[in-house]
Amino acid sequence: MIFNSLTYLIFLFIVISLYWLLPYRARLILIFTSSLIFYGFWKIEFIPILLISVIVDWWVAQKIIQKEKNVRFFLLLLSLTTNLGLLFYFKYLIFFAETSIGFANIIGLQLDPIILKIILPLGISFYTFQTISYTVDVYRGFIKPERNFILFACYVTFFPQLVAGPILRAKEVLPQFLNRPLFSFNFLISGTRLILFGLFLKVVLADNISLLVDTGFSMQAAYLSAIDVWTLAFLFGFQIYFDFSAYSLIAIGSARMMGIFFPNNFNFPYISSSPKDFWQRWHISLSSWIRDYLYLPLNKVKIINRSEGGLAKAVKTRGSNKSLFFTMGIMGLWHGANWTFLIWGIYHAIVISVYRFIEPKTKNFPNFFKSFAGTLITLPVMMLSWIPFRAESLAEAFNMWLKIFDINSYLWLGMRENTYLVTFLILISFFIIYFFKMKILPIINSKKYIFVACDIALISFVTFFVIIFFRTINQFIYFQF
Amino acid sequence: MKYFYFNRNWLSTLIGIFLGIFLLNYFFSDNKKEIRLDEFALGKDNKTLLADFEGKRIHCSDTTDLNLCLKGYKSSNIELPVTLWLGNSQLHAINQYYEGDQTAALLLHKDLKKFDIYTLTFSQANANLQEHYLLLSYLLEYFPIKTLILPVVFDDLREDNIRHTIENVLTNQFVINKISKSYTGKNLISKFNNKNSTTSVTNRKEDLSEDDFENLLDEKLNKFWLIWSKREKLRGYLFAKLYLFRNYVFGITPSTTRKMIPGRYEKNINAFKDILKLSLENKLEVFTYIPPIRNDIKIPYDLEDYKNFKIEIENITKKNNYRFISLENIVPPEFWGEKTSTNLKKEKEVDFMHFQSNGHRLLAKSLFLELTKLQK
Repeated sequence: MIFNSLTYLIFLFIVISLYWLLPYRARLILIFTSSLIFYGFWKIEFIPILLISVIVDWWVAQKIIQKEKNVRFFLLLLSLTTNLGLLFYFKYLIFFAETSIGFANIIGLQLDPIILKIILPLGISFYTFQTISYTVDVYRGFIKPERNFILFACYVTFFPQLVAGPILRAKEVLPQFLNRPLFSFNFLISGTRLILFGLFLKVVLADNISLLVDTGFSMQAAYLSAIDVWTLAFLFGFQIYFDFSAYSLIAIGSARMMGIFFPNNFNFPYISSSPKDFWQRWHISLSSWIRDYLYLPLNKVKIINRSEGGLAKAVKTRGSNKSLFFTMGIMGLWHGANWTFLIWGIYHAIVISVYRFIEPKTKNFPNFFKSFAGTLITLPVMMLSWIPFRAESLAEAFNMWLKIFDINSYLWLGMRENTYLVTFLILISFFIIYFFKMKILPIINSKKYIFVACDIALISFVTFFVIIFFRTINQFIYFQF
Repeated sequence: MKYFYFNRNWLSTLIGIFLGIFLLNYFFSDNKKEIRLDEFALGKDNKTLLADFEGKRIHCSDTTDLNLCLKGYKSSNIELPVTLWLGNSQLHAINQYYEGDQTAALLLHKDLKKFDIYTLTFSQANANLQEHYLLLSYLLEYFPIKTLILPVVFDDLREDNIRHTIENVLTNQFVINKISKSYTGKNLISKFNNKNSTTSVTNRKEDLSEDDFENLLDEKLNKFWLIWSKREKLRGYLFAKLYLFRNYVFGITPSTTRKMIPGRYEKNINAFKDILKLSLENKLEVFTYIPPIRNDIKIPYDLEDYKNFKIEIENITKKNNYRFISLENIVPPEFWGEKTSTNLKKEKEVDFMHFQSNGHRLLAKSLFLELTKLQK
């Protein structure tokens, strides 16, 4: 089911109404069954795959605490093999087969291309990481295994976060299911607000920007000027930010309506003054996962074990370059089975390495200067990383990157004037909204009537535009991951 | 643990939502705010006419009304050879329209009918050559086209988007067979397939179980709430206002110089070459021309770009042994007109593209003369 659809809104209304009317046990069954209905609306045949993952991890976790060390490790491997095996088959097999054949042909072995038709189950990357984190946490002794199968199944399949996150830890969600929250209007109101803001970002901003982005990226790099490349990098950077943060807001809002609290997944990432800052503001739950289950263990550093904080600690922890590149490469490939995503990850590893080298030399700089200059440098560097993420091929991505070093290609424009104008306006608005939130909002907050008037104006503005633009023309970008 | 948590007055949220819905109903309760974007750009001083002759439609837009033209043609019983005229809004818009005025499309149809030639016109606002290429390859399946008249408009070479009502011909196997080997065809097919693929980054065209249910809900809401059913036109209205605002802020008028956009220009030139190639393969006579433009005042193009463009079009046409002519100057200044402001000011602006009915008469006459030369 797609969040920006009438179907979802009606589904949510029914589930929320029943949720608050039913007793505790029935609520859990409601969450589990409604999550399966939510998932089955896309393709019912993938429900068994989701359930395999749930059953295996629930069973393994029960056994893992009772057994001796070697058996425990074997059980952990069983869980990892099942989860990663399914992920490999559905997400990476075609890529692996095509790459192998490509290499074979390069070294002279003439192999025919194989034709595989595998459809990627929606959200498999997200729920795989979530179930892995659960089993590893039980193995590490951080949490006790959950005996109640339905409760555990609710944690994995909970529909607001099932297909595109946030990727949550069991210790953050399971106690909330157990707590039996009492009904409060505040849950409904704050949830509704988050859903409204999410829909605004998606249907008004992201979907309309996508028309310009699609047109730009469908052009060959040869016909793009350097300014076009910068513009497209910024524009797609904003599109993916609005799109994915919209999904997160709707997910957080939907859960909030049931009294379940999710941590924030984005926090004005483009205001970051360094790569370290960026990685604690962008897709926080994924980068926190990567930190706790890959980077820090690889460097034998004590982990944080919560889906907050992002990669900041990992950036600060100077492990080996190998582990940094490996971690970021995996993070890239997690997004998709394509070389372009791997390059995206490697690019960020390079950026972090450079930052680690420069950062100690800037210690004596005044804070204001560091933050201002840092933002001026970090923003374009991060935006450029979106080129391989969105480009049609690796060759196109490199051709686009090369353009920015070609002085002559700064002398002409290859796209319609509106594209530059929209990009500029979004960029300016982003900083104005950030400034408003940080400097003006605290002042307004203290003046009760002004605050209420501004709040009404904001909500009516958002409602007005969401209704006009509400359409299911585009999926959320992160659905493909 | 610090969670992201809004805790605001729920009353302001509810009032805000109701106010938003109220404002929507208040602003858009009249039909004046329903706008078709392509028509909007023409302005109120231009009248769109898709002509009928003897009760048969002889001028269409795209695949949406193709059936009308097809029905008209089939009802003649005799399969007359078809002269196909593809173009932009110049062919369907009459500036300062008076009752009874006729477009060049209708006038040419009448003139050629006397020679047992059936003239069909297809035009869309700002149509680019890639769109003409697709439409031509599609129409070849339906009509016995013998001659193609193709105006090449400098302004339209700045366009690249393929409108949905033309792009949908790429689901037709006849079209795929016709264009799949050409440069333009390969590009368009690949772009179309990417957009419709299930692994596409943004577009959703999968046949989901949810779709039927969603459509049902949408239909119900359309019946229940008038504003919901008018949303597409309201989006058009908002974009039109944004367009006017942009023009106002940046001082953009129809006279503002438009530069050539290299990537788009190249793609359209390739499409032009592919149109000529397709015509050759299908044994069509082709007649290309540079359309009339108001030139008693400075034209809104970079003069060097425009000059090079004309030379290039002439060279490509002649290289393919087809007939080329420049009709730039055939319409005198008094037959042109003005259009309503394209920004928030109220002043009228010069219209460089659309002329009055006398201009249509001159265009039809010039084409008729050239086509009869072609027949000889």
